[in-house]
Amino acid sequence: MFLLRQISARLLDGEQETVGSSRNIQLRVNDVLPSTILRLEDGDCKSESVVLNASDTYAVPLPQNYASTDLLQVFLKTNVVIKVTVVSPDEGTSNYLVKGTEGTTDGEHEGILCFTGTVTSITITIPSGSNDAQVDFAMFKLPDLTLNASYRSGSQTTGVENGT
Amino acid sequence: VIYQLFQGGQVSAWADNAPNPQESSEWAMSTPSLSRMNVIAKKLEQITLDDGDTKTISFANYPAAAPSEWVQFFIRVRGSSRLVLGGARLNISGKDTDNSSTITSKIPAFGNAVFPGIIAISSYNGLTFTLEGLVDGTVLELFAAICVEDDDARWTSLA
Repeated sequence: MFLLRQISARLLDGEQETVGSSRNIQLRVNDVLPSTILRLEDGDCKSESVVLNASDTYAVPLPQNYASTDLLQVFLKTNVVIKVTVVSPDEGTSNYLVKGTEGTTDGEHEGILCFTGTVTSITITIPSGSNDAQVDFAMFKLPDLTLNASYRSGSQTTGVENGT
Repeated sequence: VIYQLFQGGQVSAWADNAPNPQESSEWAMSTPSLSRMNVIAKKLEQITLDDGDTKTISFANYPAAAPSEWVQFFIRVRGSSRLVLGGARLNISGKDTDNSSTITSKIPAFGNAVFPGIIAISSYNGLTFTLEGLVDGTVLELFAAICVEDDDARWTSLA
């Protein structure tokens, strides 16, 4: 199994409809090249999309192969304010407030959360009085990034492959 | 001066031998995201931290007494060379959704120059923000922005 993760941020001058409508990109942050692809095993990753109501509490299912001594990469997005509680053998218990908005008054702005750490459990809570939350998440067990064998580079379809 | 931030993320996994997820017929998962944020203040900084080092992130005129601000962080975390792992975390102390109870967040990331760790959070109600090194020689590239809703007077008066 192969995995591509790309997190990007582009900062534009002024009020813009799209990235392409700006002549000036002040800042561009990309996490990896499009060719940086990791090798994973079946059962190393998990994704889901859930709708949660106000006051709901949801236990996020972790990947099948994941053990709490491994590093887990987590990416999550939300359309309202949510509280994410992460219990970690290394960090203890952390609570994150992650804010997204929806509607014509506040505007449509997704909130995101991305981190890598050891995890025992992840729980999402929707504050009482909040709108329904649409929460999407994807996570994967991080391979040993110090080994060339953890990456796929080149193209396997043409038989050219480096770093293995 | 105002800015807009286009933030996005995608995590895609696939099982067959295709060179990229778009050409695969065996997708395991994909979570695309793209959002446009209204930015009224920003900060950009590169920092190197050793294990145990800390650095406080501050914003001019940040309303610490009423911390209902929406602060977006993107932090790339990498080691000193290509395959050497670096590690750091963002510690946030702030208020819960009741605006009274205190909550704390530790947001870690580990990575190298090939696959950096990424700390990204659309944080809310934060009071103090501190970076902490977890591995000697970790390089952090930080972008932080105070974001607001479309009807925020600070945005509408500038836009």
